[in-house]
Amino acid sequence: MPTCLCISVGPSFAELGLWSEKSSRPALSHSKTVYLPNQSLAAGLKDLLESASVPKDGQLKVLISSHHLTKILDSRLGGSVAQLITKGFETWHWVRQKPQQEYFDWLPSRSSPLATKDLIFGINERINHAGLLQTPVNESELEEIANKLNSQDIKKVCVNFLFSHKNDQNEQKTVRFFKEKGFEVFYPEIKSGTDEVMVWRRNVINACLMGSFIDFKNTITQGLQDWSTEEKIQFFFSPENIGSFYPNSIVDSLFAQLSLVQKSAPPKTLILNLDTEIWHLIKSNSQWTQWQSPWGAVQSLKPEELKLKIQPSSEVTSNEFGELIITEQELSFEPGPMLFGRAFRPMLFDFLQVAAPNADFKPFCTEIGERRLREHLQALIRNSKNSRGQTVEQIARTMLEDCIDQMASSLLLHTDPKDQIFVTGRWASSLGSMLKERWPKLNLSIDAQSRTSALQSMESLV
Amino acid sequence: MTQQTDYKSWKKFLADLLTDFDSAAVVTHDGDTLEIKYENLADIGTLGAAAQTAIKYFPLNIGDIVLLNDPYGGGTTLSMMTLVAPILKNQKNGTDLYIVTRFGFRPRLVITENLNEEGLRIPPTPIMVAGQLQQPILDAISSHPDCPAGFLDKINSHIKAIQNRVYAYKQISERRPQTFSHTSMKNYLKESRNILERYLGEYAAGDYRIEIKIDVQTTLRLHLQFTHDHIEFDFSGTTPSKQIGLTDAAAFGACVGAVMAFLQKPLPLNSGAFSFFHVTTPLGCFLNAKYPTPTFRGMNEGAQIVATATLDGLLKTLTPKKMASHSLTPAYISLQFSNQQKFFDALPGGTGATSENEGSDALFFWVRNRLQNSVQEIEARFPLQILQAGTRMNSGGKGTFRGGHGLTKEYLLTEDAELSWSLPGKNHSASGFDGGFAGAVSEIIIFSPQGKQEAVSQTVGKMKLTKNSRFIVSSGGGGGFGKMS
Repeated sequence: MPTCLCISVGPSFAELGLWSEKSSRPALSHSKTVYLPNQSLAAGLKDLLESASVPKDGQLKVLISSHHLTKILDSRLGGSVAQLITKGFETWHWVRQKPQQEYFDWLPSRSSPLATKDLIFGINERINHAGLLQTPVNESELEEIANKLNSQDIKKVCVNFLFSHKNDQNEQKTVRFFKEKGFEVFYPEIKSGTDEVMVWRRNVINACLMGSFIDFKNTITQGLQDWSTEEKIQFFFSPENIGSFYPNSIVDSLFAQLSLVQKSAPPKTLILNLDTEIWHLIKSNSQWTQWQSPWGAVQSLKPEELKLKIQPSSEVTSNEFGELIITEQELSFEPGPMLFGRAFRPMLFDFLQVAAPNADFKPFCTEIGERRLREHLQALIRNSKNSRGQTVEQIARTMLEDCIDQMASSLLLHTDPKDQIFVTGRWASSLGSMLKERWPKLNLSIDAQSRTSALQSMESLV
Repeated sequence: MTQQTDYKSWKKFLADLLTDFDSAAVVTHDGDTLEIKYENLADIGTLGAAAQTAIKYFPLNIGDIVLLNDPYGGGTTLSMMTLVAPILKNQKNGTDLYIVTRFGFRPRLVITENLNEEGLRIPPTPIMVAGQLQQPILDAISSHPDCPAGFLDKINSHIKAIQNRVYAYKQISERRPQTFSHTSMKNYLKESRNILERYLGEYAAGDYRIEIKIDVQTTLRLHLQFTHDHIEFDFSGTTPSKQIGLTDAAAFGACVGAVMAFLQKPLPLNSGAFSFFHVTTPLGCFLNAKYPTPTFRGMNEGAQIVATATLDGLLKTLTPKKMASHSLTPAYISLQFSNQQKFFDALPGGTGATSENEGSDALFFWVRNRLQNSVQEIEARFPLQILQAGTRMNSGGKGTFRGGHGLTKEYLLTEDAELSWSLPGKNHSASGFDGGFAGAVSEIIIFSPQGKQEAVSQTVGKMKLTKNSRFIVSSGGGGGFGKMS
């Protein structure tokens, strides 16, 4: 009888797996892939649990890893989050935000700020680099700000003070003050890292993502109410943080899947993780202390990884030379691949599915999608220099080979010739085998049992 | 049947080769530049020049690496180190390819008329021969008092990255020899020029003259002519300078950078596209300086002034799009403490507003990847405290659309130090457009420990300050656009 449900949620796909106790170790008994634009997570959960006849006794243990919040990072975060910053540095994080353009442009600009600039308040306080308290916080100043925030119905407050990692007296006094007034208060929990802006960004992102995270948590709790209870539902934030809810660790949930894959891979290898939606090269024993976010570096402990330039969602279109190419521009999985029937722009996923069909994705492909893809490609082929006269299948084959060669370039550039590379993930068996055949000098071992690496890697937690 | 040139593979091949480097180029033995990744304007023109100097003096083979930082040998400023190494040699039907990578150390502003006072000058020097590191040479360089801290660590990590590419590119080129043949490379360059011609073909021919007084002795003169088969940048009449020096290669890079900013597209940066540019810099003028003219200010301020003037010319001549002026260049300061510690900071200004948008606040317009240093890191390393850092309110020119604000920082010294500064924007406000106001000029105000206040009057200078002195550095704002309602 299944005793544990593992849920791995990405921006567009969710993987659900039910584990049963069999002899000494648990085994996967039922699994399901949910394409979220087509089916809600709650409906997918219900389908799986009912088809597996899981008793509605509230005893099911649930483990969740999710990086679905990456989806909302593309847009401006947050809204009504107030920031209390050491006076004199109110705009400092903003001027350290890099320009959006990678090349020179006569109209340079920065990406939108993390949270509104209208809710930044300078606080008269100062700790010096040695941790000495130079200016203590004044409660009447805090009182005035609390009144302003109340009048604007602002509930979330981030406390971002200089050198609070050396001495958190001012910070904690402010945190207590606002908590007592009923605000949700965010402050840097990790007392390390010397770059203040990286720490402040983490704090603000946690505050901005919290609402979405709670909505997500409630969806799952309600969807499972007949089978489990809130206490039995655990979230994986990082190997150190598995539990019900850590407001100051929401940022880490973005890398939960990476951490799980890293944790479950053989030691001393590099991991080529070819998962459904995203492809990474991960180092098995190495951590980074920062994340390069769209707003600049953010303090976060995450596996050392390289996101491949080529991704299943890479757009396929013509370049300036008139050739059909796989670009570095990623399309969203909502509306998704053209083959799924909703999108109008082809992505690499479509070509891979034509050239080397993956049975796992077959249920999501539609006739209308296939027809639309063929029509779109014929138009592209007519205007292309390098693909004129070819069939869709021939082009798909060329794209597949290009994809393999680009992956190989990335591996050659970022690995040592002696490195052992472990290929895992949903695309591992098809693409990994081709990679091995075309580039025999790469030292690859392929995870033959690979389903989705995130779900599989949760096995160790069951 | 001739093999069709696979442009996408060339493009990918070159881009991948330079991935992970901030500033780097791929060049051929014949002097063609195939691809450039740049951090600043000077990089665009000088990376290829550095390779040519190294190849000229040393017959490089796989396993050899040459180091240089001499601005008159293809470098830029003495704090930027350049490595040149062959990446592919003796390929059947192929061409010999070299990689040039550049990496920097914390710069310093020295007010001088001699390059050698700006730091340690390294002419092209082989630091690896047939795979063997020339350790005595590296040790000699790193033991020099002017050698930047962390020199050996950075050199070693770049050598490792180059070796990795030599291995990777041997595999890649062996697999597809036809794709990377000499003929297909020439076709790639030719097609790159065609692309640039297509981009610029949308604009009518034009002609523009500008004169900018940089300081009492230095004047920039530019005659810009645009036709459909080339752009002529004629700097005849530009004066020499004893303190500001660029090389002709760096001036070329500034012109290319301005065209790139004008087109708002990532241009193919190679010899094919470069053949569209004709740049004339009379020998001896500050844009084609001679040793021992120092280059720190030239490669930074000088190149930015050239690019800003050129961009202004292109916008005024070729398009109906209009914008107010940008703050001329960042404000630069340096502190030398009695224990020989050297602190450097650059404060970017605001950009001009347009008919549709406000200018951007405190943004390095002509530099990629330059981020402001962390306050906490600076205070932990240097005997100073930063009392404020952020946008300089009300410094952007007012108008229907406001110019971008500059940046302001207030420093408190906890030890005696000598302050050096360069404020090219001090006497040069960014003008407004169509009734918009000019941005504020850059400035430095010094407060003695006794509270006496003094604004610096020179654009370039140095001054001894005692412990507990404070000073506020502010960069200029961009010009505003349109009358205020």
